This record gives sequence, C-alpha cells and structure tokens, in this order.
Amino acid sequence: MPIAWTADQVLALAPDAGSIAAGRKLSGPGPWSGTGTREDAAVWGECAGSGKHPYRTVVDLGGPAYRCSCPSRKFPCKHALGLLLLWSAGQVRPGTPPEWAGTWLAERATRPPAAAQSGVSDPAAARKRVERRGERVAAGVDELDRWLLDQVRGGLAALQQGGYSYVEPMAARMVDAQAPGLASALRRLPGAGAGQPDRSGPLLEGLALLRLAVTAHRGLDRLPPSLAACVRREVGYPIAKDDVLAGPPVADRWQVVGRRDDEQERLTVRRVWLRGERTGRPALVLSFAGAGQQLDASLAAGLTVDADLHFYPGTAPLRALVGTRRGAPEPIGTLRGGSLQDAAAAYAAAVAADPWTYSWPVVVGGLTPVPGPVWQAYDGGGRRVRLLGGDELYRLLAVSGGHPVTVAADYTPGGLRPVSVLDADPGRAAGQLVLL
Amino acid sequence: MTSWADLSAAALLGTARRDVDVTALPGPLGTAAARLTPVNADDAAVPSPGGAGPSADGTAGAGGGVVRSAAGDPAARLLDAAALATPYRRAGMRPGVAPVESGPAAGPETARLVRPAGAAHLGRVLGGNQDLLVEWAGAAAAGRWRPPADLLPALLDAAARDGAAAAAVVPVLGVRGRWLAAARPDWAQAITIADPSTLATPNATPPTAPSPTATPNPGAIPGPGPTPGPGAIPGPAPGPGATPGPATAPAGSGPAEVDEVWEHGERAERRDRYDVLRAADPARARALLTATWAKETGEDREWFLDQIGVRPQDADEPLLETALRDRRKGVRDRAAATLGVLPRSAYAARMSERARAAVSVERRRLRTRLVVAPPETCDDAMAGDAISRTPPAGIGAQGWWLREIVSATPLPVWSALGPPAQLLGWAGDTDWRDVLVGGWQDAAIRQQDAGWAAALLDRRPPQRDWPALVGALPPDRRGLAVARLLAGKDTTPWLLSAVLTVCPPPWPDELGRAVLARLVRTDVGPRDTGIRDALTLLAHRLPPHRAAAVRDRAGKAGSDWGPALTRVAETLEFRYAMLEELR
Repeated sequence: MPIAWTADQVLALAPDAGSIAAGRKLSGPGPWSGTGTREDAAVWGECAGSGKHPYRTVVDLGGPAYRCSCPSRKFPCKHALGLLLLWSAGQVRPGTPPEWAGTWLAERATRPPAAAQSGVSDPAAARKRVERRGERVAAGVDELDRWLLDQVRGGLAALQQGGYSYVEPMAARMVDAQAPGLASALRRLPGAGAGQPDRSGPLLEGLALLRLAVTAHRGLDRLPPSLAACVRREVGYPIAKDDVLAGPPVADRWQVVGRRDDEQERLTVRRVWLRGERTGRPALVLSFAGAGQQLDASLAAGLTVDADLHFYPGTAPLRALVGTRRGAPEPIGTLRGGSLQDAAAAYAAAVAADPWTYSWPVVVGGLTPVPGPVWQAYDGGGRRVRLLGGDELYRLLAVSGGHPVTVAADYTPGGLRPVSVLDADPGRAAGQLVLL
Repeated sequence: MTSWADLSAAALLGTARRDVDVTALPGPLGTAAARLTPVNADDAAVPSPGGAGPSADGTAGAGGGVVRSAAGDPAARLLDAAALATPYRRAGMRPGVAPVESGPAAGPETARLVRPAGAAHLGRVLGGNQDLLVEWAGAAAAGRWRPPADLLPALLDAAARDGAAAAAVVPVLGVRGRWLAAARPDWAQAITIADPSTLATPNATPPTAPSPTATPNPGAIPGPGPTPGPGAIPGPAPGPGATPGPATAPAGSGPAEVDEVWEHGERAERRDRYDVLRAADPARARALLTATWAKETGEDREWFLDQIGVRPQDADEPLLETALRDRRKGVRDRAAATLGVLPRSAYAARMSERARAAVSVERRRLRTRLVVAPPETCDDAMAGDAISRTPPAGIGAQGWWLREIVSATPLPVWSALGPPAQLLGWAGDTDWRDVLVGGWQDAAIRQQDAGWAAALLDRRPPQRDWPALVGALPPDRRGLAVARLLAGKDTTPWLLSAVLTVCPPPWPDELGRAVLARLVRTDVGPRDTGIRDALTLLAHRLPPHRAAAVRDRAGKAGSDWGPALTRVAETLEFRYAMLEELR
C-alpha cells in the first residue's frame, strides 16, 4: 500500500509561495473535521473558515485533482494543501467518503482522461497554412545560411565582440520566418563559451549546428521521419500535443528525479526530469506558464508515477507528455545509478542519434563530489568528471559528506550538472530525494 | 593533419584569409569531410549556398546519405566539417582517469536526525525571522536533534550573516555541518568566531580539490567564496602555538600566512583575520595589532578599538593607553570609553580619584548630604584622559567635566558612599542633580551594572533612556522591568519596539499582558512601523503556550486589531508545533 507523501511533495503542488504559507496554517487538525482517506487514493475533509459553513475539500491523489467549495481561484487552494499536509503528517484516518466527496470521486473515475477535444475544422485551409509556413521557413533558412557563411568567411571576431545586439536582427528575422527554434539557437550563441579566454571553438560549434539544421532542412522530405522530426524541432515547427499523445505510449513506473523552474521574460519554464524504473529511460516533461498562470504541479519530485509517457518524435527522444496514469504516486524507492563510463556511453549514444543533443539526463551512482576552484566528482571506477552549477553544489556536498552518493544530473560537454541527490542518511527513510 | 583547433582558428580569422584542409581531419572525420568536398573544380559549379528552391540539394550527413555541400565555398566547407566534428567530439568525450585528491569524509553523527515535520519547520524558519531560527536551533540542541544535510548550507549562510545566529546554530551543526563549514571561508570564519573550540576539532578537513589538472575549460567556475586570489583559500587560520595540530589547514595556511595576510592583506581580509584571532587567540591578535598600530589608518584604528570594546580584557590596557594619546579624537574617545570599563586600569584609578575629590558625603546629626565640588579647570592630566576642555555649546564647563568624570568612574567607587538609590536621592538635593544622574546613567550603561540600572529605572527616567538601561539588566530580569515601566505610562510606538527588542525570549507573562494591553489601547493602528515591530516581537518572544490567550483577544478586538493579533496567534501556534516536534 502506498504511503502518504512527504510535506515537501505536497508543498511542491502549491501554485505560489503565498499558498504554501496559507496551506501550512491549515495543516493542523484544528480547523478540520470529518476528514478521511480511502486507500490513500483520495483524501477529504471539511475546513472551518470565516463563513457559516465549512469548506468541503476533496483530493483525488491519482491526478492529483482537487475540488473545494471555497471561492479561491488558486489551484490547488489552501484548503486542499492544508488537507494534504494533514494527511502527510499521518493525521487522516481511513474511512468511507461522505456523499459530497464520493459523488465527485465516482465521476472522476468514470470520466475518460482529458479527451481530445479540438477537431480539425477545414483540412484544405489547414494544408494551405502548412504550405505557406513551409515557404516562409525556407526563405528564412536561406537567409540564415548566407549569414552563417558570412560569419565564417569574415572571421568570428565580429560575433565574439558584438554580443547580443549583433545576433538579434538575425534572430528577429528567424522569428518572422516562423523558425523560432533557429532564433533561440542564435540568441544562445553570444553566451557560448562564456568565461573562456578563446570562445571561437564554442562559437564555431554553435554556428556549425545551425548550418547543419539549415542544410538538413533543405532535404527534409528525404530524411527518415524521426530524423526529420529532429530537424523540425531545431527549426521550431510547432507540434500539437494531441499528435504527441497519439504516438505510442511507453509504460513504466516513472521516477520524478528532478524539477527546476526557469523564469524567462514573462514566462516560466518548468523542467521535470523523469526516469523509468524498469527501462532506465530518461524523459523530460516541460510545462510553461505566463505571469499569473500556474505551472503543472502534478509531477512532484521524489515520487514515482505509474503512467504512459508519449515521447516527442526524434532519433533520441527525450521530451515527453504524460498520458494515462495508473494509481496514486508513491515515494521513490531506490534509484539505480550507473558509473561515469555508463553516463558517457549514454550521452555518446544520444549525440550519435541526434547530433543536436547538448545534454542528456543520467543517474550516476557511487559519486563523490569534491569542492575546489573547479568542482569535480569521482566514481568507484576511478573516473572523474567536472561538476557544473552554483550554490546547489554545496548542498550536494552537504548531503554527500564526502561519501559516495547517487546523483541525477545532466551530462554535458562541459561536465556534469547535478539536479538531485539521494540522501543516504541512515536517519532518513530509504530513497529520500533532495532537489538541488 | 588538421585538428579541431585548426578549424576554429580558421573560423576566427575567416576563411577569406585562411583556408583549412578539412579532408586532413583525423580518422573517419577526414573521410566523411572528403565526401563533403568536391574533388575537382567542375563540381564547384553547384548553385550558391543562398540559392533557394528545388535546385538547392545539400543535405546533412546525419542520416548517412551522400552529402554534397555548397561545394567550392571554403566557408561552407569549414562549417560542414565543423558540423561533422562537433557531435563526433562530443560523443567521443570520456571521463578522466586522473585521481581526485580529497580529504577525509565526514564521520558518523551522534545526534538524531529530525523527523520530516521538524525539517519542514526548519525550512520555513530559514531565511525568515532570526528569533525563530535561534529558537529552533536552541530547541534542537536541547533535544539532541540535527538538521537534514541539505539544509546545512542555508544554516551556515545564516550563521555567516549574523553572530547571534551563529552562536545558536553552531551547536546543532553536527559532525556533518562542521565538516561542511570548512569548505567555505565565510562559513568557517563564522563558526570559528562563534565557537573557537572548533579550531581544535580534529578531522574536520574539507575535501578540497587540487587545482584542475587536465580540465579543458577553466573559468565560469563557481569559486569557493568571495575571497580574491587564485586558488588560495584562506581558511580559518589557527593560532600557531596555541592550537597544536590545527585541523583545518587547506592550501597551506600556516603561521607564515597569518602574518602574510596581516602585513599585506586587503582591509576586509585583515579585519576578518583579526575577528577570528580575537575570538580564538586574543593574545596573538593583540600582539599583531600592537606591532602594526602606528601604521594603521585612523579609520582602521577606530574599527579595531570598536572590536576590542565588545569584550575588553585587562591585557588590552597598554594598547588602549597608547590610543588615549592618539591624534584622532574618535580614537581617543573610544580608548577612554573602553578603559573606563576595565576597573583595574590606571585610567579607571585616575578617574576614581577625580570622582572622589569632586563628590563626598557629609554626615550630620539630622541630615546627610552630598557635597559636590566639580573641578575648577581642566588640567593637562584630565585632557590627557580624553576629557575635552571646551564643553558643547550651552553646557557649563564645570558640569561638563564632572559628568565626564562620573561617566568614566567605576561604579563600585560610589558604594563606599552609599547604595545607588540613596545616592540618587541625595543627588536630588544638590545643584548638580542632572550632571550626577546623567553620569551615573552613562556609567551604568557602559559598565552594564545591574544594581545601578535598576535603581535608575525605579526613578522612571526619560523614555529615550529605557532601552539602554534595560539592556544593562541581566537578560532574565529585563522582561519584568519593562512590564513595570509599561504599566505606568504610555510610550511612543518606536520606543515600545526599541525597549522590547532588548528583552530576550521567553517573555514573562507579565510582559506579554502589559504589551497586549498597551497595544490595544494605543491610538495608532497596527500598521504603524513601531507597532508592527512590537507585534513581531510579541509573536516571536511570547511563550508559545500563550497562543490561545492571544487568539481569544483577537476575537474580541475590532477589525483593525483582530487580524493583526490573529497573525501573532498563528506564529505562536507555529512555534508551539515547532517546539513540540523537537521535544
């Protein structure tokens, strides 16, 4: 039987910091009455508030999905968070749901998961749109090619010194040409090799991979479908979620081994690192939220989710969407890590399959971090690697204490960038994942 | 043979100036690159790279098909070869084999790990109110709990930010936390100052990596701390001789380096070094400072005297006497103030003599009175003891000199004449009442004399003097004293928060009641800054079992005070849960 989530896992669901504080205040038994849980798949209770009637809160842990009679527009609301915290503290006893909770839970059980609703309206118009886009991209790509060749013909000094303002006109042109993928690759160029005395090598790599995308795009229809998908991704063709979800499911118990939010202008990107317990396969689930919107909180780090993943097409598929889920998430049991050699081999295979691969998620076991002017880590096989990151490396060091630990990380050409570590503290429950 | 370096060098210069033979790339790269390149000039007649539409037929080689590139253009050739070489090189990377030197790992813990709820409480307390952190740490230390390892960096950051936090945090760091602190100079320094015995803790060496041996990309590295200087980590320098076999000795910080930093270091480095030494090995700190005293800048001299003034020792007297004759007034004043709280100093003796000459008791049959004879002039000896000859505008010279003398005189001198309360009473009958009371008050505050402070507070001095006088009482007596002060008189919100700040937790019930009564009766609302500060103090320093009482009060309060008091009650409830978890 699954055990309750930890408080951290519950709080990871919170839409913002204010909700965390508000939820905590409702996490004591004081305001709650009529609480209960059913096979740890659902939790419910009534919370006394400022109104005459208590708010009725019910959570389906499988989604997780929430319902509350409060008027809050936050999702989950503070009552749901408080209830889950109460439950995670072991203060909710098993029981049978009252009618108001049972009805909703029964409805959810019978409803098919997120039915595809958008139908294709006009096939002819759609085809025309695609054609027009193809033409615009082709014209943009040719322009980019001339620009790329000009850089190499005239020397990289201009790019090296010009920085963002130097690439921005071309990047804007790529946005106009509906090739946003190329635009962001251009905008990443000025940062390539930052901090190194000679940046021409990293800059050449960036230009070369852009050139690869450009030339490959010209022969797009002659490429195998999965490789063509990589090219389309690099150029920035949109791909409908429904199309991804229509792809073959990969069933596994997916361990959520990492989560990080990146705030860009007005947009927050959440990356969730998954790893198949059975297949050992990595996956990355992205979600986006504009200002005031909420990120997908359903994949809380440290949990294992039994689900179907649908991978975006490509020769080294990594990004995925979550399809059907089975049962409630459970805490991660064990996390199997390979050696540094294994990690390098997995990275090499990914690069060989998809030349645009820059980083690849790996799990390395028996890794000992060592601080210094340059952080390094060594494994039991006598191999070592450079560690990348900022202050989070000190947390890795703290958890390790100079002993070998299992680390989930991104393997990159510059070194290993840790995202989480398994805390082997004997005082902790087995498999306590610490996000870095 | 063409290497990747040749490719990037050619790209840096531009193919217009330098061409590169891509077919000479090593191994399969060269073979693949040869297929990119036209063998003869005829093939070079392929449409220009910019040519759009169906005639452009270059495709990438990733699929393994035949590749004919934009041919004759050396720039295209270079980029296409680089496109082959980039994934080739990335996929070919292998982790290095050179051994990494690392120090010993952290030993096993002796305290028990907090339960998840306790860790969650700590997570909330970190980065929040310092009273809460200090309270958490105190309760954890008492219950022999230790925090989870991943929160140790945040705890050490808190310790590095503030000395009071450091003192509370150090006992709960555990083996792992002390081990970790050695990895960063700011952490190491903070806990060394808080607990000098950490210097002698064996086996706490951080595993510092040697400088990168075969790492290709230096730079863009998160350095170990803000310390300048490549690689050299000036760890907490142990006092040489004082602690044989120092534990933390990264990067060769021996006795020689102590002097090195002291002689040639930046101002911030030297001050850090002095701080650590003053806590760990005061004699050595004194010796170093004495040796360089004449060369220190005026600003630095003042700073060092401020440090000495925090906890002066008898052995500091020679340096302070030197400073008393400094050409800078700020230095002289600081030296005098510090010497005045060293009761065995020659300065204190000189002041005592002057005080006894100026004030005596005349006992007659019916009445005892103070006879006050302030100095007629300020002689050279007085001036040499940092008494300024000219008083501030509007103050009589004789009174001014008298007050300077009384302020700097050890208070026990007066006990020969009578108890504080009696002396204060007698002073009221003289013409010099304000001078004497003011001087005694200065002395009570500087010398932290509880008896005098209590006597002065009994006379209900002006409110602005409360915080300093209350601060001169022992911590456990301050709460009741403030409760009594508040009962009598209304205070400004600013003063309320100032006087409550010096009352450490836990507050006695009397103080809690007095503050609540005072708050609700105020004519300023809960949004006033001073009142807000007072509410925060109330929430963090009242014993947490008072939550119910505060909630009760909140229920009866109006719409302005109700929510404010509810928040106080919530914090108290949080503290209650937090402390229960650590029992």
